[in-house]
Formats: sequence, structure tokens, C-alpha cells
Amino acid sequence: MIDVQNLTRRYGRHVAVDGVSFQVAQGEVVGLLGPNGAGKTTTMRILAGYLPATSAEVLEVAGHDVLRASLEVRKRIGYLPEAVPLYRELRVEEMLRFHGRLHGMDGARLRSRMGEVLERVGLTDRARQLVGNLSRGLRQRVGLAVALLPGPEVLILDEPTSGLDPLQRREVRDLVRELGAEHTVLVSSHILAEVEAMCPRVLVLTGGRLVADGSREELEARLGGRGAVRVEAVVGPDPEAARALMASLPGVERVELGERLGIHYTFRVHGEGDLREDVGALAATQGWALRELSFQSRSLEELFAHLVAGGDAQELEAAGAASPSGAAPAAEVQPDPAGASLTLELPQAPASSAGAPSERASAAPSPAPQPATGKRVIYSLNPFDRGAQRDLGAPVEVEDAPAPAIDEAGLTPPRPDAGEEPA
Amino acid sequence: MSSHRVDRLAKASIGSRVVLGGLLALAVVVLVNWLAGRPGMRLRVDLTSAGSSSLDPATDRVLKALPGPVTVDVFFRPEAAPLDQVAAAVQGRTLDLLELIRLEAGELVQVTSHDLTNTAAVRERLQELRINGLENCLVVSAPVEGEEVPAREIVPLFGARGCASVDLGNPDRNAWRPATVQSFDAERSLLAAVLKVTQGRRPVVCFSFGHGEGDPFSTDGDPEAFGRLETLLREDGFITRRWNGATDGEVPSDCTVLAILEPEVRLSEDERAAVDAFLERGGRIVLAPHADPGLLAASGIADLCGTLGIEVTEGLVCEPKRDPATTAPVVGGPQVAFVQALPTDMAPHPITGPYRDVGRPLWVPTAHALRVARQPRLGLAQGIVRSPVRPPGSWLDLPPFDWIPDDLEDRQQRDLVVAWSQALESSAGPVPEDWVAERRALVLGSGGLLQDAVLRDPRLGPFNESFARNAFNWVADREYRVSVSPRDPRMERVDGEAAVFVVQVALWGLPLLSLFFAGLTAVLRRRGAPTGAGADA
Amino acid sequence: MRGTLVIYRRELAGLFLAPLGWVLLFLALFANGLFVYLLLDATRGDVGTVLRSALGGGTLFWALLVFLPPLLAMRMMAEESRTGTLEYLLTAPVSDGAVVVGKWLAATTFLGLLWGAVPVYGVLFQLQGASPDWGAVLASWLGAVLASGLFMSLGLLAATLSATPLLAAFLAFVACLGWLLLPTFGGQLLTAATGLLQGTSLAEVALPFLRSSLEGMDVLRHFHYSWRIGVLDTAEVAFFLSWPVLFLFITVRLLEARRWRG
Repeated sequence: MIDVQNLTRRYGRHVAVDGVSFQVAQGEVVGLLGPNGAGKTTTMRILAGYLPATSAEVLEVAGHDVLRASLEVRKRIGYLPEAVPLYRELRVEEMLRFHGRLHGMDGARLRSRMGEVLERVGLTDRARQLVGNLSRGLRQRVGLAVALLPGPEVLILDEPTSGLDPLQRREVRDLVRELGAEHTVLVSSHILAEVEAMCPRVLVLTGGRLVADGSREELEARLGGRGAVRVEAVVGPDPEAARALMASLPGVERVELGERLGIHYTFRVHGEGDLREDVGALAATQGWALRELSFQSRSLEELFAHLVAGGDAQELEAAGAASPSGAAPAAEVQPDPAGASLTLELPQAPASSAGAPSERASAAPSPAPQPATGKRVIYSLNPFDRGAQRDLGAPVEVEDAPAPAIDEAGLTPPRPDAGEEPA
Repeated sequence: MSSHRVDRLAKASIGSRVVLGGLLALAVVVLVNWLAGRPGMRLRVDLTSAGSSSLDPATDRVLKALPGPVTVDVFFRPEAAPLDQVAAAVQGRTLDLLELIRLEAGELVQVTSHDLTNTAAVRERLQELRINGLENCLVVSAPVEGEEVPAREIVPLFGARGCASVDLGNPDRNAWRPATVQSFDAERSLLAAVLKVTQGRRPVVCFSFGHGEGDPFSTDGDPEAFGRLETLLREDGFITRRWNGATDGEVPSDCTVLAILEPEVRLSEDERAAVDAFLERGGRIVLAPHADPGLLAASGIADLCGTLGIEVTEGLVCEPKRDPATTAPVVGGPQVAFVQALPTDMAPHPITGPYRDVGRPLWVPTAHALRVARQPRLGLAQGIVRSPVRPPGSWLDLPPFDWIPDDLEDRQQRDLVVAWSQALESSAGPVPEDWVAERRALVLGSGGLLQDAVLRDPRLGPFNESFARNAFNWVADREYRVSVSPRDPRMERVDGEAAVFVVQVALWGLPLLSLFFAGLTAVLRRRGAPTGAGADA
Repeated sequence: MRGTLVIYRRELAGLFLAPLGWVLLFLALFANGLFVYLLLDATRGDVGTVLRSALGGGTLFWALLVFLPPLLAMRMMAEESRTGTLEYLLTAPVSDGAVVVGKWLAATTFLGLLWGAVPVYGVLFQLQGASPDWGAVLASWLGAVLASGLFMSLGLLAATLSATPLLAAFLAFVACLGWLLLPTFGGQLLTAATGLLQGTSLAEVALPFLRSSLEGMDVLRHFHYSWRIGVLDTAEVAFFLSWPVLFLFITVRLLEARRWRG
């Protein structure tokens, strides 16, 4: 349904999308993942026919050339732009009716379809409200309803979950998953958890280049994301010897020595499958006093952070569910043999212009754990934090709050600075 | 696959097509405008109720048959109160009319509006037109072959032959009434002027000669000659000639006006036949019997006047003529004063109208009283200078001398000058059918008021020169009566209470109504649509 | 066609659902009312002159035509571009032509309604016993609507060039003012140029051509001798329709260019 070959878009000298190629088959739900400024919105605008491509070998949506048969394409897509542009002075039903008329729908068909769509996004009781009076979350839903109304072949949803509260997000995620049955869906998000939850297939876009394309499993496999056993134990005065011992266990590929926490040392044991029992047995024989022995599967989040930020992913890491602070990604810099086949084009660090963090990143690839409280610098990737008005590429200083509760779905927990979002 | 490529080349091709399309569209627009402006393609529908924005059919016909280019110079300036508004309205409407004429006539009529503050340019143009002085007027001119000075005609802003006639209103505070346009005549006046400058050859005046008439080419100061008159006419664009019936035969075919002024002997049969033939074919004539009753009888001019239905009576208005040797009066009595025709004695006629307007008198030395015995068919004979209020005893019978002043005997007013005109059934020349050609004649009580004795007199001459010019111009006039339908003055008015009502509604009513609807809309839109973030999920 | 109609209805509704439309309507009506008041006073109640002046014969009409279309165009193009609704419209299944023509028709209708106040004055006069020349009023109104369409199309064209509302309005204002006054000033400029280039072939061929072209584009002149005096002239209808068509055509191409240029 979507066929893109070598799509490039330049704004002056800046390359927003750089030689991106992908195909989406009918009925697929594909997530377009990447930080802000990665070219997601530009790509989607190009696909919707709003922006021109600077060059492309093939650019087809729903079987029509976007450049030359834009109108045909527009008849077949439902496009929800990131800013959810709606006429604020219209009522919800009027907005939908207007959109339906643009699509040539009329009379009973339009009415019934409007009812269905409103039901689906849960706005039936707000049909007579002015769009301008709705909260952002509700407007987002109206936008979805508008995109869905004509029953398009292809849905292009740019950040459909941004600005929603967790409950709403889940609703939208469920909705998008459902839509996969009827439509071909291309969803963008900068939040990996969203994409993970919605889309069987993920395209990772960063710096305008497509750096990964595949299902979650594929990506995990290719990037060596098979997990590791975390060991925290008292191993005596020579942690190196203990590391060598662990490495000698069968099935273990390598062992990393982490930092020292008081009398405890931490290790990460990488290998085939769950090696906890083997490590535990070893500890028993050696008389090590174990404080922790856990298996950690590598989340796509880590992979994403790795791909996108080249390892400098404190913020994502903070959000990472079970991973302790300052751990793995830094150690993962060496290419994984399993991932060799995957095109890995690591971009420049996105915030290379902002001095301090990048310096810190290069100087201390494996930073010391942060104190429990105090100021720290993060990159927020959610544009709606802080009212979406600030420069999203710039770091912000935040007060560390007590460890946030983890979302029940094991997804991104609200960050400390997410409290400003209207609830 | 290549057709689906997006690259520089594909964009350049699209771009060039778009630019080409744009240029093509521009060309089409220009072409459409050009085509729509062609006379054949153009259709103008006048939606005004009185058709005030379209030309009369008569005007159309004249403009279509214009023989050559015509220039209209517009010298308009603001008028002072109370005519300011009226003048502005008439000027605006006249300019609109000129544009209509220009549209109809195409390039044949050129309209130039002069900025009167640019005095140098205006003076230069007036110099070219040989016009002195300036009023609020239009000047219609057309080049004349072989002449440096174009034929030109002035159309004033107001007046009988102007753009409009106005009612001055009443400036009195108690009975105040604004000045108003009574009728808008610009079309008729302009058309008359256009016809005059395009159709008028220079008129030829033939002075009959050889019957004792005063010499028109005299320079020697003979008081009975018409030398000054001839000069005046020549300056005014007339061609002057002598005509001697005995030697020249027929009246020349290009003769416009035949002037038979104070002949002393009877015209021969042939000459009389020639004059009759001339009159028959629409010739114009100025007749003046000799002041001397004896010579009047001898010349037979009375007969000629009789054919026009004008009777020359024996009564005489006279300045006494004295024998230079004895100083005894030869004609007239000693108590007779020089006769002055006062403006009030003159008719509102093109010849004498200006005298009435500016209040100037006219000197009439000796003259027979005239009487219109019979009105011409399809025409009008009109006394334009009547028996003046005069000093006692100025009316005398001569002969026989009964020494009883006529006014004691007969208080009837007498005409001294009669203007006679008659419509011609068949018009000559390339004249539109709606136009009526006229035959004209002017009969004077005597030639005295045109003789050098008066015209060369520094005190009296200036008073009579205008009369001389006007007289011949009127007689020679090729003006045709234009039948242009009258135009409404376009002056619906509201005042007082009515105006206040309209202003109230216009100034407050409608804007407040719009505000009301704005509020209504806002309220209706809010209804059923609870506002605020409280509705947030 | 269907798309045009749908857009037209929404845009017209949009004008009357948002404050801007009402504010403009109120101000223009008030200005018109003031104009009528002053003119009635100056002409001592001359109905015909007042109505003619309010519909193209007076300065105020042209001043409004220079100010209102830029504001409307700003709202319809630049502001939508800013709030993103233009992105919505341009990705909806309507041709760009339908979008532009729909907006243009809506704005022109709005202005037509505004000029409709003048026939209302006419009705008031009629009620007061001074019957206006209805044929002339109708012709003037028609001309006013067509002139509005012309300036509106020019405004839309200029407003499309910028996504910043204020700049768009300014550009449109300059375009409208230029189109209105260029023939006059251009004519004066040409006169000066003719003086300078006296005798050269340029002065004899190019300048008169330029002058006649300028005269051909003079809106005031076109309006003055047709609609204002109550004449429906096919050449003027062609003038007041063909130029908007060209401007709208260019506007559509400019919008379309967003899909392929860059």
C-alpha cells in the first residue's frame, strides 16, 4: 500500500529525510519510531501529499503516485497531522460532516458513518460541542474520528497519542491495533513503548535515515537483545577472578564487570538463555554472598536508545523498567555479531550542539549512578512536556522525584517533568 | 518506473509546465480583454431607468458619420457657492458623457481634460485654439483643411447652449432653496458643437454691390460704407466677397449669406430672380432698406421684405442728418436725439441675448420700423430689437413732415430688427434625418447700425460690433436643431427629517444590527456546547 | 465543483462564526454610514450621488476594497497555514482549485453582503419618498461585487506567498493598493519618462504601449465608466472576471507548488 524508494527531503542544506526506503503491505500496522527531528513528520507529510519530496525513486501510496496523482492518493488516505488541525469554530459533528462532504459522502451514509466513528473514539456525547472548547486529548480523538470517517485504505497517524493521559493512550493504542484489521496503518511516535504496543513492525528513523526495520523479535534478535543475568554479590577481593570464573561457565558468551557497591560487585552475564541457575550454582560453590540474581530481558527501548542516541540515553534509561541506573547500553558499544547483517547507521548524537551533555557522554560513557535526589539534565522527547513550546532538542534540568510508579503495562512511566500535562 | 521518479528533472518539467501555463493564462486574459473591448463584441446595457447613461440615437448617428477627428478640450474648474455642488455634479456628468461619446466614436473623438492650475499649458492650448479668456467650458474643435486655426465652438457649463441650465436657488436664509440643475443639456450642446465644427465650411458672405450700396471694402472713412463690418466678419472666420448681379449673374453656389445693405436703385429683373433662386435653395440673407424713405421706395427692398412677410413701414427712427454745408437737418428733426436701444427692449435671441445678459445698449442711428405682417410657415419671425424708449419727438414721419411725434400718435411698439427663420423641408448636405435645416433671414430697419459711421466711432463702435458679429453668425449658422431627448436632472433629494432618518439607520442601525447578530451567533453557538476544560476527560 | 461548494459553505460559515467577520462588518458598515451622512450633508440630500458614491463612486469604497480583502485573505490563507488547517485542507480529497475558488467565493460573498448595505440605504430613501434609480443601484452593486472579487483574488494570491498572517495581510494590501493606484502613478511616471526620452524610438513606441497597457488595467477607469453610471458592459464584465480568474489560477499553482517544489 505504501511504497517508498530512496525518499529524500531537504530544507535548504538541512537534510530532513535522507534516502529512506520502505514498503508497507496491505493490512500492516507499522510504527515509525524516532526522536523529534528524525524526519517522521516530514515523511508522513510527504506521503500525505502536503510536502513534496526533494527526490524519490518511487513514492506511491495506495497504488498512486503522490507527486502526480495527489488527489487520488488523498481520496484513499486518512491523515492525522501531528498538530491535529481542526476548525475550532465548528462543532464536532459539523467538522465531521464537512470532512465527509469533502469525501463525497452524503445523507444517510454520512450520518451512520459519523455515528460509528464517534462511538469508536468515544465522543458520541460530545458531538455538539465546539471543537475549540475541547481539551487536547479530546481534540486528538476528534482528529482520529475525522481521519477514520471516510474509511480510508491507508491511515497515516502522526503522533496520535501525544498529549493524552495514560488511560487515553491505552484506548488509542487498542484502537490502532483494531484498525489494523481494516486499514493499512502507519503510526509515528517518539515513544518506543507506544510503538511496541501498537505495531508488529517498527521502522526506526533517526537523523532522517532509516536505521532499523523489522518486527520487535527481529530487531531484538539482530541487536543481540537476548537479555543478561545480573549478579550482585560479595566475591572477595578479586572481582576479575570471579568474572573469569563466570565466563568459564558453559553457554556464557561474555561477562561484564560493573561497578562496586560497597562490598558488592555487579556483573552482567551474557549468554544463551537464562543462566541464573548456573550462576547461582557457581556462587554456591564459591561461597559468594548473593544479593541479587536476576534475568533481564533487553527491551526494545534500550535498543532504540542505542540506535538513536548512540548510547547516550540517560533519559530512556531512566524510563527503562527494570534496568538499574547507568548500566548496559554503554557496554554494548561493540557491534554484536548477530546484528552484523542489519544496516546500522548510527547518526551523530542528536544534541551535539548542546555542549555539556555530549561532552559528558563522551567523557563518561558509563556515568556513575545519580544521587537519589538533586538536579540532573535530561532530554525530554515528549513535545507536550512543558507545553510543547520549548526547543525540544535542548536539555532541561529537572528535580529528581522519588522513583515513579511503573505503568501497569510496563511501559514508559510518567517522567518527573510530565506533571504539567493537563489531567 | 522512471515515470514515478521524483527528482530535479521531474520537478523542472513540472515547473516549466506550470510557468508556461501561467504565461498562457496571462495571454488568454489579455486576449479576452482585448476581444471584449472590440466594438463589434462589446455590448453595453444601460440599466438606469431613464437611460441616462446611453447616448441618444441621433448622437450615435452623428458620431458614426463623423468626417474627421474632433477634439474636446475640457476646461473645468470648481465654481463658487451656491453653484459649487451643482457645478461639480454637472461637470462629473459631462465627463461621463464625454467618455460615452469617446467609447462610441472610438479614436475620432479625443477628449483632453486640462488642469487649470497648470496655467502655462492651458494658455498654450488656448493660444492654439485662438481663444482669449477662459470660463468653465468645453471647447470642441476640428482641424480645417488649409487653415492654421481649427474650427472651434465653445460649450459653456451653464446656459441655453451649455451643459446644463440651472436654478440658482434662493440664498436667503429664511426661504433657502439650494441651487438645482433644471435640465442636463450637455449632449445636445456638445452635439451641436461637434456638427458645427465638422460640417461647417467657412461661411461666405456676399455683399450685393452696384446699386449704390456702401462699399464693404472701403478703407477711406466713408461713413456710409461697411468696411469695418467686413473686417469684423473676416476676423470671425467669414469669407467676404462682392456680388454684382449685373456682371456676376447667379448668386455663387458657395455663398452662405447674401447681404443686401441699403441699395439705392432697384435690382434688375435678373438680379431679383437670382436672389429668389438663392432664397429658394435655402440661402440666408441680411436685408437692410435705405434709411431714406425715397431711396427705400426706389430700391424695392420693401418688396423683398414683403416676400418674407415683413412690412417696412414709413415711420423712421432717426438721428438727424445734417447738410454739412448748412448744418440744417436733411433727415429728421432738430429735436431728435441719437437712439439708444436699451437691453430691456431686446428679445432673448442669440443675437441680442448677450446684450440683455450684460445690460448693454445698442446704437440705432436711423431705422424704419418693421412689422411682421405674416409668420412664415414652419418658422418664426421675431422682432428682436423693438422701438426704444426715446426722448420726446424722436419719432418723426418723413415725409410728409407733420412734426407730430409718432409716439403721441401711435404708442404701438415697433420692431427695428426682425429675425426670421423657416424650416426647410428637404435638408441639404450630409445631415442626419432628425435634424432640421433652417432658412434664415435678418431684416434691419436700416443699415445704419452696421455702417462705418457707427462701427468706426470709438465711442459707439464697441457697442455695435457684437451685434454685427452675432447677426451674421446667427444668419450663417449651420446649426441644426438637435432632437435629443431631454435628460432628467437626476436630482432626487431627501432633506430634513427624512435625511436624518436615513442617516440614523445607516450610521447606527445597520452597524448595531451586525453587532446584534454577532452576539446572537455567539450565544447560539455556545448553547448545547458546555465550555471550559471541565469537560476534559 | 462539489468540493468547491463544500469549501465555500464552510468558509462562509467560518467567516460568520469567528469574530473577525463581524468586526469587519461592523467597522465597514459604520464607515459606510458615516460616509453617507457626510455625503448627504455635502450634496444637500442628493440621493443618486450618495448611492453612486457609496458603491464605487467615492473614495471610501476603494479604501475598503484595499483594506478588507487583505484581512480576509490573511484569515483564509496565512492563518490557516499557521494553525495547520491548511494542511488539513490540502491533504483532503479536494483539488487545490476547489479550495482556492471556494475561499474566494466565500470572501466575495461576504463583501457582496457588505455592499448590500447600500441598496438598503436605497430602500430607506424610497421609504422617505425619494426613489433612487434602482437600475443604476443594481448595476453599481453588481460592479461592486465584481470589483470585490477582483481585489479578493489579488489578496488571496498575495496572502498565499506568506504563512505569517501579518506579513500576508501586508503583502495583500500592497498588491491591492498597487493594482488600484499603479495606473495613475505609472501614468505620471511615464509622462516624466516621455519627457526624458524625448525623440528616441523608446519614447515613441514602448512608452505609449506601456501607457495604453496601464490604462487598460486601470480598475478605477473601468469601474467609473460602466458600473458606476449604471451600465452593464460586456467588456467590463470580461475585465472584472478574467483578471480574478488569472489571479486564482496563479494562486492555485502557488499552492500546488507546495506539493512539488523543494
